[in-house]
Amino acid sequence: MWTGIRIHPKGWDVMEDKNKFFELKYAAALARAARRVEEAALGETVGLNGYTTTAEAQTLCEHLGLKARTALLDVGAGHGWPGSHVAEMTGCRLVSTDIPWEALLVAQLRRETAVVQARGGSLPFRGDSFDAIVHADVLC
Amino acid sequence: MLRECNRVLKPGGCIAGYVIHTPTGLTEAQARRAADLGPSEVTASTSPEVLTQAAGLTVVVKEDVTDVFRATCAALVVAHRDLEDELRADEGEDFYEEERSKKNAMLQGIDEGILCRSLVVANK
Repeated sequence: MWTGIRIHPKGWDVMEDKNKFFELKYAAALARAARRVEEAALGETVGLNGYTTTAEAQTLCEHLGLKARTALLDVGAGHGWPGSHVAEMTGCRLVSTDIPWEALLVAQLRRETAVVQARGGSLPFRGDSFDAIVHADVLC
Repeated sequence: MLRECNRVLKPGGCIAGYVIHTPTGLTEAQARRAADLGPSEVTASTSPEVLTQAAGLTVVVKEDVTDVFRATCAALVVAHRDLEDELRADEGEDFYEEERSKKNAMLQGIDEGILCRSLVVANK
């Protein structure tokens, strides 16, 4: 059974303003016009929340070399891209983490994934839990 | 974040991702400008592969993908401009302006050579 977990880590209040911006960003990205931007710019609608194209997501997939039922963590997942692409291509089990809860709910709608609200610098998982990790435009 | 990734990754596991960063050797003024134009936490002094190695991971691939990054960013800027009326109506004036400003700034930073993007793949 896939679940959604919200965890408020230390320093959460400091992130509040930033959280509000991203909640607005992801809510707005649901709008029809936002999807049309993606269609107009890239010729496809994958739920982009950064700059990773489908070809680049496929490159990640090839490097990770995952098999079905292995465990993949998408850090800073936003709407679930590009983790959703890797999971779809490989059949791996996906866990998506990010700060904006609304974005994670969108990720969960797009593909079966566990969602965990957490900061990348404080991941609420036991050591040695995942076979692979994917991220896009998070380490900046 | 990379140290946390290393902790939760199984031995032999792989981490792969795209990173927006600055080229090495920027002056202090250039680094400040990069942080103004790009993401607020853009790495100013250390390359992504050095950060990855410092987290205890072994880098197996580091590939500059700035050309694709620029093309994607430019396409998004054009699409935002072309769909301006719709976006202003659907997303609101403030959000539209902030998004437009961020994307234009990112493109400016790329064109000034102070923002780039790389694919980094590493193993535990």
